[in-house]
Amino acid sequence: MSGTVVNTLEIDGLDTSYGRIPMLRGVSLNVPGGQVCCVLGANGAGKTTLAKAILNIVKADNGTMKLEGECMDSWPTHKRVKSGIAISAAAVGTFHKMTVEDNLKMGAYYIDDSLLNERLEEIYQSFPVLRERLRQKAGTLSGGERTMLAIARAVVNKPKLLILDEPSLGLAPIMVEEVFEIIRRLRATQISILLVEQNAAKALSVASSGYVIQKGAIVFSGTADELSRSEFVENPVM
Amino acid sequence: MDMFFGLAVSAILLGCTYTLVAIGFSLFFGVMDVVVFCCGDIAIFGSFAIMGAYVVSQSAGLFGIFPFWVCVTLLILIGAVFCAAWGLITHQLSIKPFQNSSELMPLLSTIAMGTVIKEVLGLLFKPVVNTISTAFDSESAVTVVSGRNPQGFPSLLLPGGTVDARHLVIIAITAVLLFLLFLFLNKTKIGMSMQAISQNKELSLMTGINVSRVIIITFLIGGVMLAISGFLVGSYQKLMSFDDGAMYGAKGFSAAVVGGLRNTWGAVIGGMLLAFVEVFVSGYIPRGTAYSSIVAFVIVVIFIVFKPDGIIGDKSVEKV
Amino acid sequence: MSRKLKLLCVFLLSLFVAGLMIGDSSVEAAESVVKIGFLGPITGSDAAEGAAARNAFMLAISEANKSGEFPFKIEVIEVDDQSTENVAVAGAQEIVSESGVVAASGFWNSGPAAASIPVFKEAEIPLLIWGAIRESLTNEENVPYITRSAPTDKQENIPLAIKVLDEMAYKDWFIVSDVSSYGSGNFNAFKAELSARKITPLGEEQVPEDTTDLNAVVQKIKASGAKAVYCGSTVAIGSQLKRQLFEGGVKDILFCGISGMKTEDFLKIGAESAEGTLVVSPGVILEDTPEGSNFIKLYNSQGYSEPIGAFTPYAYEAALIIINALRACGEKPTAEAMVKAILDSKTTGIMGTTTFNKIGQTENVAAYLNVVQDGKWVPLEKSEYRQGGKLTFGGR
Repeated sequence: MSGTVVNTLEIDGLDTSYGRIPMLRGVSLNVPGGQVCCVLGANGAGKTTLAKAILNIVKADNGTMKLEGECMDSWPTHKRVKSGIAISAAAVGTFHKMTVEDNLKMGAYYIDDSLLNERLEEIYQSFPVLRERLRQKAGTLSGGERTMLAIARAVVNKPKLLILDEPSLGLAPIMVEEVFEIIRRLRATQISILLVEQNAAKALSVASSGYVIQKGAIVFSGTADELSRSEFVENPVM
Repeated sequence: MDMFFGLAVSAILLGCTYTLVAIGFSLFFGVMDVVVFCCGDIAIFGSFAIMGAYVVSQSAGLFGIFPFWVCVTLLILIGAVFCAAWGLITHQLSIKPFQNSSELMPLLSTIAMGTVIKEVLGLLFKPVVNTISTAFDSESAVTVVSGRNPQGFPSLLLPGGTVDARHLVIIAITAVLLFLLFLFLNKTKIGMSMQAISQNKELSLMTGINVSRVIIITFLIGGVMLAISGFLVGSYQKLMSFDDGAMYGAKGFSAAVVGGLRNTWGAVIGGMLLAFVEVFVSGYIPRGTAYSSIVAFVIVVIFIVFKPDGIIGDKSVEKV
Repeated sequence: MSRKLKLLCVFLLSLFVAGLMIGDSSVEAAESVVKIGFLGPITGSDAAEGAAARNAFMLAISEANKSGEFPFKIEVIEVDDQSTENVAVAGAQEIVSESGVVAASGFWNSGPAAASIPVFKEAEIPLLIWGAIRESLTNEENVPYITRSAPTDKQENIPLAIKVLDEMAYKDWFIVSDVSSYGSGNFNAFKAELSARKITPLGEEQVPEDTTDLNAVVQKIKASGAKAVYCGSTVAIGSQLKRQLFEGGVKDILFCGISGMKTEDFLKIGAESAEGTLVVSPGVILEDTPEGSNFIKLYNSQGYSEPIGAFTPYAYEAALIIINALRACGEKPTAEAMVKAILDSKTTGIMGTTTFNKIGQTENVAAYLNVVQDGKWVPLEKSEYRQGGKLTFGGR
């Protein structure tokens, strides 16, 4: 990889386990600054575990992680979020009894109150559908709207690194299109994105590089081109 | 009609005392997903702390130096510090160690904590050796150790006012307290975080909420709420027994279950419903007092079986 | 002979000699001694009560011996039950296994009494209970061997009823108690007194023991129009009910109850609302009767270290009853004769005249009434609430 690009996230030799069952084994990866990097893998390959380990929601047994070159191994979850890592995980859902606006405000946990309204206004411009639903309880939104909300909530903080965990999960094809359109727009803002996806074709359409994960270990890494030609992506099992 | 009105007032007052304990349950259940069974004991500890502090401050002449209301506020603060400390101890010793074990563990360990709190009170406030003075006063007397150890609660709430005025103040304080709690939960960052944790703990972590800090703050605030409950319960009942906590705990928990464990307003509705049932069963059914609590608990069992979500249930559960 | 063998021989010999001496003395005793057992908590947590009772019991016996009335000497076998059941049972066995024992008197604690009763029944030796007040100790199965000269809790209701139902003639009653056995016992006893006088209470309520909010009951009493409230419970319920009645504006009533409420706490918790509460206490005011004053004088002249306790006069009374029964048994009293003699006895002592009913329970309920006046318990007859005094009870 080119030496001039500063990596937003560097992971080296990450091991995690669930009880005594190993989940991730020696995972090393880099998310280059301002680019979309994808992690591809089947259900249960360890993609979501990886996403949670980056935020220390799943504890790491071994390995080191660096955010913009700074070691963050000892940081608790909230400090990692405060330092600029945001995650949007479709499977985790929303704060269903709060309004859309309150959900976004929860995402803006570390934004100064004086800047909050300005920032929310920017979000509504990027996600016009949310402006219409401001006073509605998040639990009453449609699946697509909830995914929008989840992404919007994650970017309110203006993170350095955005982790998108399966954004297309359970969505109708037309909504999947829309979600990936948003990812393209986010890419244009020079934000670093780690896209964790099962849908390889879609993911590679926005990513510039990526990794393939199988049974908790990285089995292939390369540029988007190299990935799309690899046996792992062509393999119908995926 | 006169009796109806009298009973209604009694029920509202009793409902206030239940509600305040029930809110403790729903606050803790909300953020921790565990039933903290020693809420009642913490509240009763609060009222005993206030009682003890009153005796000490009175003998130290505090009431002569400062205006009455300053002293009372100080006493409540002392109670609040004690209850907050118990809240913290409960979290650290009875809940945190069992975070990753079965839900039953914190339930049992908080029951055990309740027993500890109760026995500590029992030790500090020795069973009163009641001197049943007999005909032979001058010579000797029978001593009977009264296990229930009733202690008179000092008149700290409108000591000069009428009973009706005092009752009005109790209702008013409960209402103000509920309003403040509502503001706190909905208008402050910490309050919103508590709700967030209650609704989706994983997402709360992902949002960057310092969950363990919020949990500790919840226990502190819950402790303070329970201390004020203890103060109001004491001022209303005027007679406290160190083992009253189990009864208030059971009633508060029932109120919370009937209303909906996660919902603060549910605690109010549940507390009032329970109190109304109890008071009216006792008031209108001949010899009903012996069974009023039983009727109330039967209602709770019916709710647990048929409507476990309570009156204000969690209807908008998200389907993923 | 080895040293060990020598030691063994000496040991066996001394045992033999000791056996001879014991056998010897018992043969001698059969001639001129009648033995009576006494049991009580002479040491332990209730020692003050037990030791004073022992003193009084021994005092009565030694007076009888001194009088020269009997052709035999009365000897007391003293057993300390330490307020403990198994110690009491062992003591009871010690008494019944002794030859020449014709009767026993015992117990301040109901638990040890209940545990020891079968021992006396088995040995067919009469036991007169002087101080244990659990109601069930005397019953149809235990009679005629077990009798009791102390009144039970429930019997307190009889003199109270005579006062408030017959003398004061209150008719409109509301009766309250807790659901414990103590509360229920009193509740039923007072209700029986009411129905014996053909009075139906306007309302009745039994509350759980841990009840602190009695406002619903107060509303009910208010609505019933009762002129008098009976509370058969302890201080916790009693003081709370009285206070909440007072605060609820129900002030013009008679509020009466039993000795469980007669504590300093009732005054402390009840404060001004406690005024005018009428409560019955067991016993007599010794100073007020010539027999009582004589007893105080006699007891105090002995130089005992334990002062007179609440049940000391009852132990003295029990000794008088046994002495009276011995009179009826002639020159050679036996346990068998004493069983009947005690049950049929009629003894006038310092607490009035004691006779036993068909289950062996005393019919002499010595009691007096107390009233709260100016924040203190005062015997009714010495208070301003007495007939012709300055104050009157409510509800008249």
